[in-house]
Amino acid sequence: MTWRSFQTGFVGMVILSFFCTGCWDATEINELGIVVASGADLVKPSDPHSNIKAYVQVALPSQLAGGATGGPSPSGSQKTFVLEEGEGPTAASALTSIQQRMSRRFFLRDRRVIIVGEAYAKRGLSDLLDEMIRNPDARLRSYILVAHGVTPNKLLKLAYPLTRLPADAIVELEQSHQAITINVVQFVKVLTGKSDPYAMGIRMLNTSSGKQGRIFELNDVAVFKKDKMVGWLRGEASRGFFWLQPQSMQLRRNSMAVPVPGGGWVTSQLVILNHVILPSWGKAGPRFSVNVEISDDILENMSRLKLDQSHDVKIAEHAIEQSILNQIVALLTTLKQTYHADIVGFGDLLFARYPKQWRTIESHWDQVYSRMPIQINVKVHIVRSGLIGDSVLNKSTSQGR
Amino acid sequence: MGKGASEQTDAKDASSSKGDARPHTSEGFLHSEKYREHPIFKDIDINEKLLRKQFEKCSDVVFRPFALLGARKALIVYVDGLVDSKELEANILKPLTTAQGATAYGRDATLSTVEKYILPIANIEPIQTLSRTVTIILRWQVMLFVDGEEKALALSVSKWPQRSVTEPETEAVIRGPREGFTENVRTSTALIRRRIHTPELKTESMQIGRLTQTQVVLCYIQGLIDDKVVEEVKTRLKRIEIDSVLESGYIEELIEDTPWSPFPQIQNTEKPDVVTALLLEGRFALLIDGTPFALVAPINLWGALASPEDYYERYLISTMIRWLRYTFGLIALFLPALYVAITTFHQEFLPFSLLLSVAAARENTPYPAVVEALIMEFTFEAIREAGVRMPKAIGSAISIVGALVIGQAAVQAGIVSAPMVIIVAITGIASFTIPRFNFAIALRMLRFPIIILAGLFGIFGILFATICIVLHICSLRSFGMPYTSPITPLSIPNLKDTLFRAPWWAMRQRPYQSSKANLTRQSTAASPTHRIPGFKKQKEGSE
Repeated sequence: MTWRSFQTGFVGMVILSFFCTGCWDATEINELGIVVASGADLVKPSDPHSNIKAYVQVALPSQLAGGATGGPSPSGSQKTFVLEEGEGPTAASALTSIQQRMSRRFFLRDRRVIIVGEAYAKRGLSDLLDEMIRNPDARLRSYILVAHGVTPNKLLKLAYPLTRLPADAIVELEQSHQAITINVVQFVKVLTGKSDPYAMGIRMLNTSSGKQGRIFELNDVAVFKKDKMVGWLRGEASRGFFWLQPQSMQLRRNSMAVPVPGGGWVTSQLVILNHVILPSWGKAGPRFSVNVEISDDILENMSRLKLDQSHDVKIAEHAIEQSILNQIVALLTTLKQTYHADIVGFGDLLFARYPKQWRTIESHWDQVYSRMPIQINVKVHIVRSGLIGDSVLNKSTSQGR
Repeated sequence: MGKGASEQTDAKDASSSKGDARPHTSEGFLHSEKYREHPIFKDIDINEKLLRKQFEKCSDVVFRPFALLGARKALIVYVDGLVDSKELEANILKPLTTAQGATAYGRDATLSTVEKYILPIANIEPIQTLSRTVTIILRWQVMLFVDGEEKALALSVSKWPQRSVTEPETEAVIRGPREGFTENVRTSTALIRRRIHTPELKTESMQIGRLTQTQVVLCYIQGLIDDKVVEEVKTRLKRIEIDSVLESGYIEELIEDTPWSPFPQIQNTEKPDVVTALLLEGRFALLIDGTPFALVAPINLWGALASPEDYYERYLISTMIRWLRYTFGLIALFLPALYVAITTFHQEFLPFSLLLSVAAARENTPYPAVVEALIMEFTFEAIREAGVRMPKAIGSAISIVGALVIGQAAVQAGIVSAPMVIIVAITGIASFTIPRFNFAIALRMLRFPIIILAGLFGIFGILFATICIVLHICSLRSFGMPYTSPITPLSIPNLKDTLFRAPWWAMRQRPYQSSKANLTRQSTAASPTHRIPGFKKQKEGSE
């Protein structure tokens, strides 16, 4: 074929191809149902073999954006989203059953929150995760949350007073550094490793003034054993988990009030958190040392300590250390004794450091884990105690003298 | 495109080989075989008769017989209105008719005496043939015939109403010379000659156009320009056989390298300072009588995005503005297409809140995004075009109608979405940041196929279009010089004047693209090394 006829043929083919297209991939943006959050739960929570119910929160852009026609809608009077639900034997089929009823195509790329019911989490999340990983449309950075004490649809139905979409509120809470976030990618990564995943719990509360509706709260950590949830970490134990999380480097705003010897309280705020978890392999098998080093600010001093004096600073540091130590001990005790779940990631660390020895204990890692000695060292430095030194109360009395 | 160029030359050869295809000449009977070389008759009455016949029904041609120095019959012929009648009276008729000359030189002074001693006119030319006198008369000169002489005198006292040198409206600058060329090519050459004081500035003149005989002046600086380029442009100009040249656009289309390209390969400008600067870079200019627009070549893509002000403002400002132009050039080309592609294929590109806003705005619109974009872009072009042609008073009315109809009413009626209006507005502004009108038009034209491709194939379509455009630009030549020079082929020293504008003391060489012969523009004497005490970090310049 000569160059010229090749050229003509090529140009002809390109032009002809324009007429063959039907823009089959094209979807106008206003034909999308933008999914902002979704939920999944068992139809009958008591029966582990029951069907799965899926919930989808679809945003209503016309109500959200205001636009040229209406102006911003008064918040609360109009719904900014639609909640649809569907049933099926698996998470994917339940989602499909909703799609069949919807006039708009699901747009899953902005689904930022997935709330699973407690019963469903206890049965296992593997089918949901599998669907998420396989579906090219789904976004893997969605946060996973476990509904605590309520069903997901109640949470998804709730109109949050401060943001336009309730999903926005959940995302903001997740990103507020008050919570330990986990998204689908991280969840799957942990699941395919040697450790166990976790998820934050979400609860519904009444606002303090009552009438303004209900709000969410993220607290307590759902502990998973592989893909099945086994229980909750509450109170001390859940706070102990903060100190051992790599993400908690960002937990800047966390303040804790600690009683100090001699009466009164000192409230400290985290500045820098360094933690190192070191595995070692002795004759008796693996052992760990957990070293936590913390730099703290003093927010409030309601005690007799004079924090401009190094002796009193030591006392305060020691009190904080003790308090943190108690939390970590509570965490590890619960995990090792009650749940036998390794959400801190000891298994991964051990495998990374001692891959050969790991094989010898892999089959009975659960037993090894619950008997394994873990040494905890906590070191607290108070870096900024404020120039006042001792409490304002003390100052005023001393001046009065 | 290379294929196209070869076809063009083929066509030319074919037409010149066929004698019949030549355009009919309308030069009158004195240019026919019989009279063409015939000398001027000694009998002035025959001359007058023939000329009167030639200029039959030409009311503006004046025949003025008189007696030369009171004795011999004489005749002046000229076109009324193209001759300075005051000068004609004072410097031609008066010395030739009064008795003073007669007493000094005798009553029967010859024409050469008249030429040498009597006429106080700078530009006098003796003419031998009658056919030539016709041409001369039509070239705005006065012909003087004397009875018994076999030659006549052409006296140049031409003058006609002319526009004065004013600021060009198409290329307004904040800082820089405000002079512009005029329709008179002599004024134009004068404006350039006034700036460059070297005999190496050559101004070769030629007439193009069989009927208009338009004067075309080829300007270049010998020693700076590549001689091959001069040869090439002369060859291309000589090849032109056309009846008229009324504007530089005629010449541009007849000599450009790739006639099928949307991109201009020859720059046009009204500003003598621009032409001077480009001449000094070793390019050539064509000044064409009857239009203030001069042509300059060879040029490159970056020149199309440069403004003369870039060289007058301080270099940091110029560099920033240049990048602004590059950015907005791309926006002008791609923004509507990107919007179409993203809203119809790649919604995940949009951040969540933007997605909601766009989705809400598009909720009630009847057309798909592609159609909407095409409608809006066409409408914008129409408003722009309408505004350009209208007088200023009506122009503002058009902008009000345009803004109200498109911006407000169309959105409120739900026919187009508000984001589309924003996109079109930004695109419109962006295309106006490009200083060269014809280059901006090229980008505007290319926008439409890209929008269609984006509507069919999404980002893939845009990418396909981009590749096509880049391939095309890379294959373009301006008088044999690569259009994308100095990026491809890469010449690092010349990047000083493309991606950013280096300070003048750093631009020590002329662009390599056009002037290979004489590269050095300045010495290092004014560079900071020598100028600022204590600034000795760099080694002393080698020159």
